[in-house]
Amino acid sequence: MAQSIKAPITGTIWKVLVKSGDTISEGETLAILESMKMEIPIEAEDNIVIVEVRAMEGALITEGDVLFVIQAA
Amino acid sequence: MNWRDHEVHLDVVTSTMDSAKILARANAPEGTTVIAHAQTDGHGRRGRYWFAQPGGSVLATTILRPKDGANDPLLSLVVAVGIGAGLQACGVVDFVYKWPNDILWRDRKLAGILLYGGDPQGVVLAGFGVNVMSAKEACVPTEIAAAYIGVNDLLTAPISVSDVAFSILDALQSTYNDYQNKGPEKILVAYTARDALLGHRVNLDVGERCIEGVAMGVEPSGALRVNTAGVEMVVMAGEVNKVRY
Repeated sequence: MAQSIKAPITGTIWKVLVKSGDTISEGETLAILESMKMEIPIEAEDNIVIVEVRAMEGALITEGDVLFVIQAA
Repeated sequence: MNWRDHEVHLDVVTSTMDSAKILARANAPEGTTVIAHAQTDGHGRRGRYWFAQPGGSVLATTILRPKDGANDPLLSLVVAVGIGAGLQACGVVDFVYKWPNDILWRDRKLAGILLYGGDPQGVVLAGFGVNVMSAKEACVPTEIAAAYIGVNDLLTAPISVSDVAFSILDALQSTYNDYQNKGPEKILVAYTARDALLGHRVNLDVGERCIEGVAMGVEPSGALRVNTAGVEMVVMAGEVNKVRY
């Protein structure tokens, strides 16, 4: 079943490090967000497959925006 | 607990952020501070190059475990105000804060700050570099000479890097504890008193847009208020610079 990973803060997306179809291990970084010079890595909490990447580098995001659609690996 | 009792002095590291991250994972207490003589991979925001002559600046990262979690953006301002208070105690007077947390003296960078947040265990790493050596002593490369200022360029009697580090750590602990216990009011007052952008025309590079407006100060959240053609925007991220004519 597909799930989503949401932005924990309002800010911008600095880096997106994965693409659709990638299999990611727990603890790997998917993206790095930035808010007021605080860099916030988004890490996988489980082993997952990236179904869809909605995060776009440079984009403004609001807390709660969906960054990735994922499913269990 | 006095943070100065939990200093970890290292000679050469990749980055004090890397060393502090390892200590944080090993449950080092809040306030533990890694201080290095030199870094081989020190950097600022977005991986930008940070010049630091070995032994010429305070290169440090402090482990924080804020009570409201690891995503509090106001911590950027808290750390800036704490470091500013430490510089003031060293005798540096007319510095300013450029949103969100650069510390400048007449448009030259005196200190840079970068925070790593978002940790599920609630840890924030507050990394900072404070130039202490004078520009002449530090043999600053020509390409950044116009952007560099050291504490010893501003004092009549030179001060050591370790004395600046002690002063900053004491002030940072005091400022951070005050914020944790009493809230942001004093932070915002101290920040606003030295706000480099307040009332100035600024360029905002926000996401995919570039906007010009007038900086109107900071919100209680620490976000920057900018008036753009009569409409007030609240900015949490992006690049902001004074417009130069």
